[in-house]
Amino acid sequence: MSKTFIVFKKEYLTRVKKKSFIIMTLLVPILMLLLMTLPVLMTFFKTGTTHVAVLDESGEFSEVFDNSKSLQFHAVKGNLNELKAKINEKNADYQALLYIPKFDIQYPGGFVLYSDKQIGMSVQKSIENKIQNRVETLRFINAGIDKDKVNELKVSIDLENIVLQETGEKKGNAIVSIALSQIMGFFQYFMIFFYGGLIMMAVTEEKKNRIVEIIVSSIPPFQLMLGKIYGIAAVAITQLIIWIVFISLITMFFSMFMMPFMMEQQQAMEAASSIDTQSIVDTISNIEAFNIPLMVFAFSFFFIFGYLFYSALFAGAGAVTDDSSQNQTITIPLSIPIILSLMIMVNVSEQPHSPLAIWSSIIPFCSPIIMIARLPFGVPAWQLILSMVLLVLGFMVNTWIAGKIYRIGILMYGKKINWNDIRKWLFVR
Amino acid sequence: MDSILSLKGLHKQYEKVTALHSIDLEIPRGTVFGLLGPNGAGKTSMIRMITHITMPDAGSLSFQFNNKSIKDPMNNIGYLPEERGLYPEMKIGEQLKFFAQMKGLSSKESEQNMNYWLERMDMKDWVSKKAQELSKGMQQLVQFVTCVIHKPELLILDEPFSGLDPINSERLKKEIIQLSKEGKTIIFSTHQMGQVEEMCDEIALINKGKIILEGDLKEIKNHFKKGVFEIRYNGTFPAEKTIDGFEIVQEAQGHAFISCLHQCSYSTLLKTLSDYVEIYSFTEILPSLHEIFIEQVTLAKEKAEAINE
Repeated sequence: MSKTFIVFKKEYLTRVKKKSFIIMTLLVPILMLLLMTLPVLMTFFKTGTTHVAVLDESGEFSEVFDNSKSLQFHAVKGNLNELKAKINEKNADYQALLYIPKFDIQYPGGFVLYSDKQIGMSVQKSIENKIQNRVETLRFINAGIDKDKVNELKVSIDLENIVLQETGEKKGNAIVSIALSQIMGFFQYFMIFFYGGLIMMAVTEEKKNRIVEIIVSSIPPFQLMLGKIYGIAAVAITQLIIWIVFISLITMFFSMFMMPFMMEQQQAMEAASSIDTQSIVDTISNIEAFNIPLMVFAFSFFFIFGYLFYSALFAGAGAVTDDSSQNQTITIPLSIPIILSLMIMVNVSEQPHSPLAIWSSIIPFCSPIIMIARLPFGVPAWQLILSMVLLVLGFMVNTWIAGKIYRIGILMYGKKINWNDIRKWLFVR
Repeated sequence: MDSILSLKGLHKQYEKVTALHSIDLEIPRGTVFGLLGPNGAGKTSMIRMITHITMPDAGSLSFQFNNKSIKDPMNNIGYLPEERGLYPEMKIGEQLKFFAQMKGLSSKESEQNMNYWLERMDMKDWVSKKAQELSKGMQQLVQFVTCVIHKPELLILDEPFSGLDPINSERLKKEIIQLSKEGKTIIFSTHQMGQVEEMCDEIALINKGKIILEGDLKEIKNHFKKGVFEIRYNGTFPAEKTIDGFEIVQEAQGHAFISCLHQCSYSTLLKTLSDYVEIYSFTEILPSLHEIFIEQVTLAKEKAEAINE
């Protein structure tokens, strides 16, 4: 059994057995589940009705305000100031007072909603729409136009995007692509930072606990470093696999039990408003248009090698520091390309085939995030292969550099190490 | 001489400092070898090269182990560094097995050796405890076990007693002596001269990267003796301080130190002294290693200064 493997096993097992790992691995899918079911659950538990008194001095709004479960309107008469004063009373019948003055149809204004607390956005919008509609109707009548006729003439156009490929036509869907690209890119960004930090802690911890000298008298530092990098990579992969399995199960559960319920809701909403359910169905069916096996392979590849690329650098960084405050300064140069990638990623979803997107998805420092973000938009094979080759080469170069730094750095105590020292270490025998 | 380890022309240069100047040294098999020297003398540099942590710039190291089946010399060395620790959150049993496997033992062998040592050191209850739950002294004993668990032929202990209380210190000393009896070679680096005198057979004194004194401890002490004798007696010496080639350095109430002015033998000294007083006891004072250490280091410093001038 090679010593690298023994280190690998130890790093892997001690981390996987930790409570924090188990909690985090289970918590994320549960949070996902909550996020997915929350809107549905909310409708169950949504209680409380906002009562709004309507003081209509114009006399034009008698039939405009229809009541719903959450919003009840009550027509009132009287003096505005007296009514206003009532709102702040303890057992007020109304939480808000809508004041509609006599208004000029050309320049409508002076509508005020008085309330004891800040009124919710949706309530405000809904009342606004109602008033707007009514004023519009009045204007149509004034101008002698039949509003029903106008509504009849309205039209809604869908612009379909067909992507032309050598293999044939593919239905494009910008929204799904953008969402997928951002989610995957951001996930990758998070994982690189999280696991990069973890490997740095693993190295620093060994140094801090003064074990490193015993260890390196048993195993060459380079092998030790590899064992650590691979061990923590295996932890990341384990976590990823558990998440994928859990999330698939949850999605299955969701579609089996929640979908029928959602559909009902959908129909109810459709009856009330005019949301086009067809577009949602389209969106879901469009996911199938992606080349799923290729995406999964490429994502896994960039996930693993992206991690390895950066973890070698983080291991080197961990080796030269022995307290956490110094850690932060040394990670700045490492963080810059990662944060930069995230900024480019936002741009990539707008213009996935711009030169910036193409080159940043090929250069190893950004490619783990950018290439993943570009995948949903379709990437030419040569770019994908070039990017992969460069990333693997980059990983090898980084490991070599980190190995050099690691070998000397881990035995250094209490000395502040500057970039000049590190440069020298790279060229010593 | 049957050496377990030979250093030939071992040289190490750091940026501006020469840590070791072409050192030649033989470590005889089965001895307890004391590696002495002031701070920064080059002891740690030398140990790190022996333990393969760093590479020499020039020169060579060669090991002659009895067990030829162990290919990697690293696996036949047990090293207890001065800066040492354990994984705080790992259980003692897991740590010991991990360290044993890192020295090339199989999972089964490491389990067996672990049980042997836990029994021998009376640590069985600690197996499932985390390192951070043990006291510092207990942790140090565990650290000692990590460096002997793979039954190495060569042990290198760097300040093994630092931070130990007298009881644990005694326990560790007994173990080291026992290991020596079992035929292990032990290189022992320390500042504590008392322990060296008690335990070591051979020593090497390093200063500024050079060996300034080396050899059998008894021979070295004999070599540096000053010809001073301590006597207890009854009677009175004559008033003058010098009698027939001897000088009375100090005397008070039947207790005196006598120094030989020239080469002298015990018998002539005894004969002369008994002409004046009745002697109860008579001992030759050998210099302590502490004195030799300080004397030699100071001498080396003076020499270096003389050359510079």
